[in-house]
Amino acid sequence: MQLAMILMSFLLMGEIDSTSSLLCPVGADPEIIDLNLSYSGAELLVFGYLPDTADDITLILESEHAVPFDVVRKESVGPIWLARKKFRVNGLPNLFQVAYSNSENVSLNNLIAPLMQYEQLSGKSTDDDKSVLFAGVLQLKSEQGLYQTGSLNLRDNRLFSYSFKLPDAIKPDRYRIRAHAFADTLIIGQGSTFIDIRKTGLVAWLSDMATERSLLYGSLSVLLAFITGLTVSAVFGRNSGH
Amino acid sequence: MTIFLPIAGISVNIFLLIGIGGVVGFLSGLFGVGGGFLLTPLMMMIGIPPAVAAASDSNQIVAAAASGAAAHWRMGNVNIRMGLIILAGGLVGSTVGVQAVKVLRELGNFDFVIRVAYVVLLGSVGTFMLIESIRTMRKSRAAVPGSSEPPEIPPHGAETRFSKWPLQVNFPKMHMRTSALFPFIVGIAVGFLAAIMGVGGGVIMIPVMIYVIGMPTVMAIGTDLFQIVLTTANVTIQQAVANRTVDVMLAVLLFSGSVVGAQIGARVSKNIRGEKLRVYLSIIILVVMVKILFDLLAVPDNVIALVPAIGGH
Repeated sequence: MQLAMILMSFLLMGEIDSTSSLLCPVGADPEIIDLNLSYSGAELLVFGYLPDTADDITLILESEHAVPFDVVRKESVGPIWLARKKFRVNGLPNLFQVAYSNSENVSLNNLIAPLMQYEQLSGKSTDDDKSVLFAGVLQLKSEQGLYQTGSLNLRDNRLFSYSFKLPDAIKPDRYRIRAHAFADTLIIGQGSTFIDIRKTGLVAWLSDMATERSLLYGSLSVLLAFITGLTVSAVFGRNSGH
Repeated sequence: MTIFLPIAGISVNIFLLIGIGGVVGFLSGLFGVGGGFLLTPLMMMIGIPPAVAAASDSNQIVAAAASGAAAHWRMGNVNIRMGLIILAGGLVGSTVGVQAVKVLRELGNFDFVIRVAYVVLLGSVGTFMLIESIRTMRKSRAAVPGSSEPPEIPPHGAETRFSKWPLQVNFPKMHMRTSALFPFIVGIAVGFLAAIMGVGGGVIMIPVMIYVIGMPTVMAIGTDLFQIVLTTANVTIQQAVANRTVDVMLAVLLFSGSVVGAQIGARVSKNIRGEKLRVYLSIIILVVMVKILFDLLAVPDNVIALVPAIGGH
């Protein structure tokens, strides 16, 4: 984890000043987000205090786990587009959002690119696979609102706050928020906190049943549909005098 | 007002889903089709993953078709014997189809296959049905000049087409005798497509019943709805077990609208002649086909596409 932090700090285009690394206090509200039936995205307020000697702040919100996922690369075959290659992508967090007070310190591409690993599962590899794959995955994640950047303003009293927009495509996981305080391009302070996103209520119950007791889940789905159909038919039939 | 769908993993407007279900249910009751051939593409258009859309549509078709089938049952439009023969084939076909979905999803071309299947199926059925219906309407007008309600003319040769096939069965209610083998084979094909495309199969089954087997239109519609209920029930359970793509919340919202729509549609169908019904249905089928074909040929804005993980969100 320490190695990853050092790597990430370099990727943020700033060197760590190890002799004067300051604490950059950071908090989040809410600390637990429930994925229930009414969830349609959420706002996560992140706030903190910038150390006296720092000029700028960069906040990174990312999921703790990087679950591998499969993608296909489409290629044209005559007038149609077919999936011709399949890849398994590793190392990328499901969610990665960055907020900054100075855009010179941040490049989403530079932050993400070193994290991505992949293996080809099918098809013939070509030289442009890596670049096309990276650009395509970045586009997919950005369109889902999972990978985003935004700018934040520092207040006169050195307090900062930023509202991350959490999309509905977010997955249950523990999420880490890291704050990096900059003086010029040098990272002089860091801080971090965590939030949890979890399925609750009917969403959790249905998801668990669909996964763990799929036969029961399927049977109940059918029974519910069948009873509803017959009930409505009976009501309409009675009303029409049949 | 939105709702988070547990398996699809996205939030969708509740009234949009109920409204779409209602419109499709109306068409289902009117034409005796499950409505899946319209609903699955519509779901994909609003962002539901194709595999979840197809599997959940199967679930909602159970409700819509049960509602429509019960209404037709009361009107005496269901031939149980024919329905059970088709159903036997449908159970075989749908079981094989669910396994095919699993393989196609792993290969990453499920989205493509489903669109091509729709274009071929809707294009051929829609065109055939439109031409045949217009021809029948012209013939019936010529047969009874001046009459506004001429009798329905059975398609040419339907009575004798399967007279030499084995497994001859009497269907007294329809005053006909035909082989059980052909409906069984068609049932297999339709059951397979039901699993692949999330359709009830009525879009194929009804033209086959009318034009090939020679059943009266209203009897074909009622009988088809009867077999659709059981075939899609099988597909839903198998999709839930094999692919875990059934989103029951999505299905509930869809069939909340579709069961009511199906009842209204079934009543309206009594007041429209069979040939006219088929013309309207064929036009809807062809419009949907053109839209899917356009999507298939359009250059994708991203050549990288996600392969959905089994288990949904």
